[in-house]
Amino acid sequence: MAENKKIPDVDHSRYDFRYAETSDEYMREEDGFTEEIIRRISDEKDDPEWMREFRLKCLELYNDMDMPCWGPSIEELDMNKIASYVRHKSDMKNNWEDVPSDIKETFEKLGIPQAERLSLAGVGAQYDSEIVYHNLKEEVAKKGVVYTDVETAIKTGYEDVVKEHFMKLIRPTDHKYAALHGAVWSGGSFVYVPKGVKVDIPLQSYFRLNAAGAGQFEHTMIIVDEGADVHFIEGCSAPKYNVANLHAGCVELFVKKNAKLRYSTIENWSKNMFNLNTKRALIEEGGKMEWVSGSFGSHISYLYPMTILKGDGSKMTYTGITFSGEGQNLDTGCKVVHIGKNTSSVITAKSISKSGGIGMFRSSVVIEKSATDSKCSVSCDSLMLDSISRADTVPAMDIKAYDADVGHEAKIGRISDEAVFYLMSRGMSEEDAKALIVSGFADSVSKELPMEYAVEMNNLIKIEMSGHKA
Amino acid sequence: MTENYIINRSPALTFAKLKMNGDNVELDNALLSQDTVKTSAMGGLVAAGTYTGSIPSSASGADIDQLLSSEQHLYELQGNAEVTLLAEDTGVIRRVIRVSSGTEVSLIEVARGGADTVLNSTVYFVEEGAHLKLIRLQLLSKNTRYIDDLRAELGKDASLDVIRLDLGSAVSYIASNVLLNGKNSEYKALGNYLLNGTQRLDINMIATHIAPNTVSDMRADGVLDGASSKIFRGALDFKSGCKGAKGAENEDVVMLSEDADNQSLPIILCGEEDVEGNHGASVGKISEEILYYLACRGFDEEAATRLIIRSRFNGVLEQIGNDELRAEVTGLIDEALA
Repeated sequence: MAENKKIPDVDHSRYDFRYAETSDEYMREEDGFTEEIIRRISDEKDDPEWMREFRLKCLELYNDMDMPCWGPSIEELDMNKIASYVRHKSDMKNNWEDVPSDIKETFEKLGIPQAERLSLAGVGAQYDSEIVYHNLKEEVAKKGVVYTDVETAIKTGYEDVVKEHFMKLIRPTDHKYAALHGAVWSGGSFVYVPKGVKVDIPLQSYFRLNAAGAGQFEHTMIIVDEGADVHFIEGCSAPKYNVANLHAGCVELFVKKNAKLRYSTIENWSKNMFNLNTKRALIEEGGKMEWVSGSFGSHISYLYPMTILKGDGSKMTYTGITFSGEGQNLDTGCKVVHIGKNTSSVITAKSISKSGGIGMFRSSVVIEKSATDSKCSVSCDSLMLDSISRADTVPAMDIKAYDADVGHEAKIGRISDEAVFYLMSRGMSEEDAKALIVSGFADSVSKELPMEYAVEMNNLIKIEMSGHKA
Repeated sequence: MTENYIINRSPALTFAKLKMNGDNVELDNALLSQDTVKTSAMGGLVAAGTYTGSIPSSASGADIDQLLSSEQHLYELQGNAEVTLLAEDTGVIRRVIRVSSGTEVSLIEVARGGADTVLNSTVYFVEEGAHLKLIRLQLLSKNTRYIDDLRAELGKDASLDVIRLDLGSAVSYIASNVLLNGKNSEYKALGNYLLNGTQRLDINMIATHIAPNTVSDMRADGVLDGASSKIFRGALDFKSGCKGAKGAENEDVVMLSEDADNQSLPIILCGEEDVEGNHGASVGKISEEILYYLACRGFDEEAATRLIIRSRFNGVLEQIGNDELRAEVTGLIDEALA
C-alpha cells in the first residue's frame, strides 16, 4: 500500500486577505445581543413598526431557547463577543466605481465584477452587515424581475410582500439561531421573478464578512412566481481571525406553481467561522427546486437546506459536496418533507475528510401520509483521506405513506490504491493523482454548476488537496 | 417503584424534532430485579455458575445497563442447543454464554409467555476461532412489552451469526451491541419481523469494529401492516485502527397499510481511513410488476401479496432445524397473514 504523503497546510490567500476597519469609515455595534442593541439596529434601518416588534419578540425567543443538543458542540462560541452589526458609512451603490475602495478591491480580488460582466444577470454584494452594491441588467429588469435587498424592498413598494413571507417559512421558534436571526437580520437579497419569466443567466449574491468578531445575518427571500425560472448563486468568504465569527443567515424560497428555482452555493468561510445558517424552500404544484451546494470553509457548520414539497407533482434535487480539513467540523446535509401527491426528491451528497477534519452528513426524509405515490432517493458517499479524520453519516427517514418508494444508499471508503497506482504509472505524481481522483469524486456536483463556478470549485479542491493556490 | 428510562438511545443523534433518537419507557425496578424467566434447555448449554467479570455496554443505553448491573448466570455452550425462555411474570433474565475457543455450535432460543414486561439480557463471549449461529424466535403474547438486550464480544477469527424473527409482543425494544474485538472476526445479523394491529418494534443495532479485517453485515427486513410501527436504528462504528474492516447494513421494508409508520436511522461512524462501509434501504409497497406477473398466473391481489410476504420468511424458516418448531412458526406467520 502506498504511504500517505504529508499534505501541507492550506494556503487560502485568495480568500484570506483583509482591510482594517477604522471607526472613521465603519460603524460597529457593541458586542452581544441586548434589547438596546436591537432597538439601535432597528433605528438604523428605519424599520416599520411591525418589523421592530418582530425583532424584539425574536430576541425574547432567542433568550428563552436551548442550544441544539444533537450537533457538534458550539460551546466555544461566546455570544457576548460577537458584534451583531458592522457597516461602512457609505450607502448601497449600483456602480462598482462608487463603492468604497477597500470594499471594491475586496470584491475585485474575489472576481465578482468580472463575473458580473461575463456571466451574470445581476449581482448583489454584501460587506459585513450591509449590501454595498446591487445591480440588475436592464433587459432583465425590463421583464419585471426585482433584485434588491430586503430593506430596500420594504421601502420601495414591496412591504406587503415582505410582511407576508418574512420568516413565515423559517419560523423564529424553529431553533435558537433562527430566533437570533429574526432579531438582528441585516442585508441579504430580495428577488421576485414574475409569472412566466425565465431568466436565462444567473443572479448572484456574494457575502463577505471582513470584520473580526462579527456576525453576518443576511436574509434572502426569493419568490419565483407561476411558470417562472431562475438560477440564483450565493457565494461567501471571510478572512481568518483568531476570534470567532458567526454566520446565521436565513434563506426563504417560494417556488410557485410550475416554477423552477436552482439555488447554488459555494461556501468558503474562513476557518474561524461558526456557520449556523438556515435555508428552506416551499414548492407548489408542479414546481421544481434544485439545490447545488459546495461547502469548503467554516470552523463549525450546521447546514441542512430543507425543501417542503407541498404541491402535487413538485420535485426537488439536492447535489452537495462538503470538504472538511484541519480544525473543521462540518455538519451538513439536507431535509425534505413530502406532502403533495406524486412528489419526488433526489439527494446526492459527497463528503471528503482529511487532516483531522470531521465531516457529518445528516439528513431527514419525511413522507407524510398525504404524499401518495411519492418517491425519494438518497445517496451519500464519503471519502476518508487519512485515519485522523472522521466521516459520519446519520440519515433519518420517516415514512408514513404506504405506497411511497424510498431508496437509500450510503458508502464510506478511501481512495483506492489501484486507482492511484494506475495514474502514477502514467506519469502523475501521487499528489496530483489523488487530487484528480477527488475531483472526479466531486464531479456530480461540479457538473451542476455554471462553468466559472465549477472551475472555482475544482480550484478549491486543488487548494485543499495540495495546500497551494491553484 | 416505577421510573422513567431512556432506551435504545442512538449512538449518534439526529434532529431532535424527528423524535427518533431513543424512546422513554416506564419500568418497575422492583419487578424487574427478579429473575422470573424460566429456562428449559436441550442439548449442550451447560450451567457454569455465576459471572462477575466485566461485560460490554449495551445498545439499550446506560439506564438499562444500570438496571442490569448485578451478577449474571454463566453458561458454557459446548454443543448445539435449544432453549425456551418462558416469561409468565414480569421479570428479567441475565445470562452470560461463553463459546470456547475452536467450538462451532448453534443455539436456538425461543421466547414465549404472557408477562407484562420481560427483559432479556444476554452476553455472548465467542472466543478465538469459535463460531456461533444464534437463532432467536420471539413468540411472546401480543400484550407483552419485550426488552431484548444482546451483547457480544468476538475474539480473533471468531464468528457470530444471528438470525431472528419477531412475531409476538405489543412493543419490542431490540438492542444489540456486537464488539468485533478479535482480528478477522465476523458478525452477521438477519432480522425479520411481521407486525400488524398496533404492534411496535424499536430496534437499535450496533456493530463496533475495533480490530483489523473485521466484517459485519446487518439486515433488518420486515412487513408492516395495520397501524403497526417500526423504527430501525443501525450503526456501523469503525474505530480508529480497524484497518481493512468491512461493514454493511441493509433494510427492506414492505408497507401493506396506509396506517403503518416506518422510521429508519441507518448510521455509519467512521474514524478509520482503510475501511468500507455501506448502507442500503428500500421502503415501499409490493411492486406492481410482481403483482401483475402473479395476476397473469391466476393469483388475485390478496393471494399474491400473501405469497410474496410469506416467501420473505423462507430464509429464517429454513434455519430452524427442529421440524415441530418450524411448523409452529410457519403457522404463526400464516395466521398473521390471514
